[in-house]
Amino acid sequence: MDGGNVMIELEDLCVTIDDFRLEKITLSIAPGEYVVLLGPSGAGKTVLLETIAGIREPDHGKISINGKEMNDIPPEHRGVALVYQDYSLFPHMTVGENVEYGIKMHRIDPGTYQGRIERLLSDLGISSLRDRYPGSLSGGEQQRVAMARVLATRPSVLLLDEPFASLDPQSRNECIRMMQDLRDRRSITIVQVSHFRDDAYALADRSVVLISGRIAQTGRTDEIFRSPESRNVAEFTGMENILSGVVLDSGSGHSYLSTGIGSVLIPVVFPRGLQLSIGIPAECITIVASESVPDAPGKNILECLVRRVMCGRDTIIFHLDGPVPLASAIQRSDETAAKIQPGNRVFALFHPSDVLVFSGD
Amino acid sequence: MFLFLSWCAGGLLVALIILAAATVAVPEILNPGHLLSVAQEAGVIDSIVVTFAAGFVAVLILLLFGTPLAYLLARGRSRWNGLVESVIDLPLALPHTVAGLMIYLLFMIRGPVGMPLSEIGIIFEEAFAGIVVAMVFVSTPYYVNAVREGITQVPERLEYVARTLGASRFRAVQTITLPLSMRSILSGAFLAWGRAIGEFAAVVMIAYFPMVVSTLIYHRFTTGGLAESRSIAFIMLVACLLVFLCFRLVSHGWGKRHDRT
Repeated sequence: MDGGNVMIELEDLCVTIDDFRLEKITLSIAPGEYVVLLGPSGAGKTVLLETIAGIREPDHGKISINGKEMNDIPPEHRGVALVYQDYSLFPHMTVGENVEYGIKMHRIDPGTYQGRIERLLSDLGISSLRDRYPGSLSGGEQQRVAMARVLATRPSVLLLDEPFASLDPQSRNECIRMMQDLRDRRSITIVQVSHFRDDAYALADRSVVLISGRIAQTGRTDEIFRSPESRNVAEFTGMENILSGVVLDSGSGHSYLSTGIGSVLIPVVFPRGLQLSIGIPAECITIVASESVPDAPGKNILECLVRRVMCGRDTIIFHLDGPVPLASAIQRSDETAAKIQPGNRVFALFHPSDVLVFSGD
Repeated sequence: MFLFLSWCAGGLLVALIILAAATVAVPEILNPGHLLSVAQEAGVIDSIVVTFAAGFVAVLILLLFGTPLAYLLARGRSRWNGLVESVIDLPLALPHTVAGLMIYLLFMIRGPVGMPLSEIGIIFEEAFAGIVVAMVFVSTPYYVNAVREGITQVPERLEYVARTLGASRFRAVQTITLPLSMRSILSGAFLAWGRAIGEFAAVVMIAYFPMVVSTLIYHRFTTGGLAESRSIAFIMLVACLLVFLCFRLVSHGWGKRHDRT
């Protein structure tokens, strides 16, 4: 990303709050880009949003918005709007007063903004709520009012802190569609915090994984969930089969790793004795119910006992007891696998090229 | 059973207050001629006016200076907060004569604050200003603690959001935090006012004159006897009851409008 095409630039940002520390955050976000910040609870996602908004002061590092350094600029002059998970609507003001609040604070002539307010309320389908107080609104209605309130001020950056977390599935889908429309107009740069991968898949141009106050991985959402670069990210993405081991031996283009489940063939050469973590995506492990060891040259083969079977919408998850527990995700359409029951002895198979090797943990 | 016992326990306290009020009120109601003559005395009317006015000015001072302090204590993360809160609570624990002595030593004409202010014409000894200062001193914890509690109940995130919507810190507090704390501010103000107008020891040490009602009752008790002081006490009782009834009505209305957190 070149310097002239950056809306938000964070350079080596450090923020301390009590015992928590956000460390060395460096990130560039392009104008109109939709970035989803992912990470477990306590990773510092909200602190990062609040720091961009100017509510928290960084210990050091630089925040620039639209090319202008913002470290000493108060929140009201940053052109950044923030929506919290609970929407933080002003409870003593009506919906109309909430939406007009930002405009009044910007001292815009009241005559010129009425049309804008009417259009916003109408676009978001909340015109009829204008005289109601937030306490009488549903979660979805509150979310739309919070959006109308921030959009009324025409911010250049919109920061959303888990905006869909407390919505029912229907309201959540409506709100995601609303955000997709907003994203597609590319007029506002949006940074959204989320716990849910679905939000990132539906909305993000790019996802950023934040773990323990540091950026652990940045990239396309699909990339992050398919190929986590570190054990921390793999654990956050919900990868089931994460193992530690020591390199026993290596040959041309491969190594043998001694793990809790025995020796595993991995497709990378590492020096003998190196400690490594690996991950095997559950969908890459197939299971075969067979009396004898199946003929699968080049594949890792482990004998296991099926402990539990969990049926999902599209897949069946088999939890396997072997030297260490493993999980295998098989498509429901696979009729052979569908017949496997808890207590069956099976062989788990996976190809070395499916093994993800984590570095830097 | 629990509710019955609660009613009995609470009822005892209410009965004590009613009984004490009745011992003052009944003889006065049975002798309206005497009550009327005392109520029409210029000294009594002046005393009531001075008391209520000084209490009002004390509350105004608390609103102006106590509200920012309560905000800082509610929102601040300073390690000194605990110390400041303890200092504010000091008048609650002190015997009122000690408070009066402290006020007198500080604000007398030769005192460290009284002397420079006397040079610009502000006198505290035997003056209205002295009464106000004593009232402010004893009622500060009632006001500051009530408002601090109220502000603590308002989520700080509302201020953050207001600021990202373009409000300065002052405007965010003015338009969001204070309206949402209005019930506590009113409650604190009336508690402080009630405490202020009832003060005797602290007031009398710096300003025996002009007489506030509590001083006048003491004065009449020692010079004119029980009947004289009881009539003034009854007038004060009725006046306070009316003021507090009005407060309940006002705070109920304001509370409904603003207490939506």
